[in-house]
Amino acid sequence: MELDPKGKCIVPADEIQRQIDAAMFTWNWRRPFPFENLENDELILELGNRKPRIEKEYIRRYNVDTTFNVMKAAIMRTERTKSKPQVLFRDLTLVLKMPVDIFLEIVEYLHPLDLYHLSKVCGAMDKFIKSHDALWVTVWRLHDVPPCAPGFSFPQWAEFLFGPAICDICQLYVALPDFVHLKRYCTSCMLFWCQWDELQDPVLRSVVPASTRQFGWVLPRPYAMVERWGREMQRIQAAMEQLERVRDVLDYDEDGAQDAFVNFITNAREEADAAIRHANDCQRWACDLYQELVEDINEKQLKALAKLKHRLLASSEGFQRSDLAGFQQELHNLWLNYSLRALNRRTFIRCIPHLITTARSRRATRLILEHEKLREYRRDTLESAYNNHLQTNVTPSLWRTYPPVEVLSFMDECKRLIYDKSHEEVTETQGRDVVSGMERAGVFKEWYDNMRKGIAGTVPDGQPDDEDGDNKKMNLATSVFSCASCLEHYGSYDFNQTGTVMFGWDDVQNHLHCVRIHAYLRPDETGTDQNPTSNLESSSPTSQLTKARIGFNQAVADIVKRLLRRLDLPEETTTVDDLDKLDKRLVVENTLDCVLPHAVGREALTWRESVGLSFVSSLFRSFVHHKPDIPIRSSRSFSSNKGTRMHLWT
Amino acid sequence: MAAPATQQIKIRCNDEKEFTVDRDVLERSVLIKNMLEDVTEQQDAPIPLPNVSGPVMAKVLEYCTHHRGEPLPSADTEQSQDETRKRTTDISEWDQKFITVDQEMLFEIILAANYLDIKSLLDVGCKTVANMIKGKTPEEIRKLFNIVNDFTPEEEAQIKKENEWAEDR
Repeated sequence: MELDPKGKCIVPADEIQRQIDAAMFTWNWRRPFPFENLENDELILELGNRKPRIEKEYIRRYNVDTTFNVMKAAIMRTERTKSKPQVLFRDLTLVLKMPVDIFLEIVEYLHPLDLYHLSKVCGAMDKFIKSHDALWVTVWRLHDVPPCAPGFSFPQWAEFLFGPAICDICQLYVALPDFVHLKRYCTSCMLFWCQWDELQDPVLRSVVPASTRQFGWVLPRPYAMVERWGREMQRIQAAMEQLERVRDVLDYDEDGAQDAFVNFITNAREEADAAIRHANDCQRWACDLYQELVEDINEKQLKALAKLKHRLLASSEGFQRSDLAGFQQELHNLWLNYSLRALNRRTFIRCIPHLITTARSRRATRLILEHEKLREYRRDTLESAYNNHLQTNVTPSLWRTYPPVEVLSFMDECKRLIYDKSHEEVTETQGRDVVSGMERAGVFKEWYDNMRKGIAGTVPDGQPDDEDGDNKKMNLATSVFSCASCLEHYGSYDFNQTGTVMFGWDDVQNHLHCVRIHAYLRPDETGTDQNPTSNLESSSPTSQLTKARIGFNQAVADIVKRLLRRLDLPEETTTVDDLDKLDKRLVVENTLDCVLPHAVGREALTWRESVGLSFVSSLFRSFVHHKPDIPIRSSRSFSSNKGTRMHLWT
Repeated sequence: MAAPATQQIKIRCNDEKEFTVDRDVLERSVLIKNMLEDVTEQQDAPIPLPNVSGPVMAKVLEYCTHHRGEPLPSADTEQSQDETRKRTTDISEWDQKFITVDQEMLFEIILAANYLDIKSLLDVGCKTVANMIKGKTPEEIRKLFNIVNDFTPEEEAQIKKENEWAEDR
């Protein structure tokens, strides 16, 4: 670096120019700053007449027709509350007939906002008010309203503060004005028109305040903006300091450029400081009003809602507090849906029917749930009474002649009690009485008879119904059944479910409620079809639904017959009990993995499992035209089967 | 020693109605006070008040009697007091009851207070009227003053939309 004869640093001219350019660039990007107010028309002219036209449809669709001015609303609320005149005339025409000095004396007591409103009354009044500057000065001095920004007249400043809250460019809603730019810009206009695209530095970009407009006035967030303002001010000052540093490199200048630059910096700093201070004051004032309005609105909302809730609770409609919860959120939603800008009596009255409808809907839901709970409780009580009745009044041998507890709630006598419309609970005594009454009336016996007839009706031809009711004597070959409900539910290949194949009366007992439930669900189809369904596989789905749910399983019956033949047991007399009493297990070989996975690796299966496995295998083999076979190989008890081996299962 | 008897002053209104009032009561009016100071000789002739009627003067005298003895604003402190006074539009309870009159009487009182130069009474009257205007939308003020709107429909729609939220009367 070179030094001049006086010992000062000599900086190359191009370096000076570069630094000045950098400083001026930093300055230029802040063009629309307070001391460079652009008139709206100028701005639009500069933008090449590209002022967006907002069509009505656009306004309707995007709900942008609001011009709600937060500051104005807050002041008017305060003024209305404060003034509360003792005397209230509907007509003040005499005021206009008064001498001018008295009229001016009267309007001097008004708030600047009232003066602004007065100027909007008519053209003559507008001229009169605007022509008296002293009046504006007095009114402004007497009220807590930020002073005019530089370059603004009082009427213009009033228009800026209290005018419609819409973007100066696109006329979208803007909650608070921008006190730095002294314009109302929406976020997109701010980003588009006031931030240079080529300004990539994030710090410099963020200095341009995109302040407040993206927040709706219902969101109480202004103080965050105030804090942000503090940070922005620091950044602006940092930019000023950067400019100041340029002065150091100007020491070589001999043509007074340094003085000019110092003056420029001093003036700019003073101007910027004053503008920033003013903007900060304005912003804080606006934010305070904003906060005040939000709190006021919240308070009024709560008060109005409390009144409405009290009215609803006191009404004869039977509302409870839970029905009226969350009404404030509901009200906010309504505001958004109906584009209501503020809570006043008119808008609240408009919301009341919706709130009441909501409360009624909630009450209806609550009543349904409560009643369902009550029914559940009644059902439990009744079932408890029934179980007690079975244990105390019925011998275990007769239990099978009583319906399962699940079926109980489908019986008419119990339904009457459970679905009673009253809100009274059912006591254990009542339940016991009902069960005893049903027993006395022979309901349980009738149910058993119907069941027995229904099941007996499914037995193939030639098997007479046992009139004494002891179906257990049916021989094994004619007591193989399937439960259609279980087949539908679990699938015919799921041999784990006993519903696929049932042997004898005891197995059927476990599935009687399936039949009974279906019978109750379809009263016209009692499930006592006397025409036996010989084979479930052959019946159509419709017939399965409309006829008895338990049917004779011919395929398994054939397998059982062959089993009995191989075991040298009589087909006509051997019963399920006889076979069960053997208490033996049969050895199985060559189990088909694909059809009976749980049997793989097991050496022995019960005779039931063996038959079931044969049945499933037969279904599987039928696809490849194989004859079904019984996969038993050995049995010690059944010695006639020579060459086979049997394991005793202990 | 007995207190000196208060001087009685006669005044005559424009409807020929005469009042005889204590001097300190009448001196609430700067106009009459100046007149009395200008006249050095004792005169029995009533002071003519051609701009005030009898009923209005009775009301004004009622106000002056109630506020007799209160300090009058001096010329040098008037500016600062004026500002302080105008900062608030609160009216005392007695004054509120006093000013609860019909519209014609209210404006007569204001005019009389202005004529007689009774600053405090003028304040009460003006505050009362100002309170009726405060916090009103342009449309409400228009109705109040019975003014025909001469703005264009576009201007009018804009103003109406602006103040839609405030129509909670």
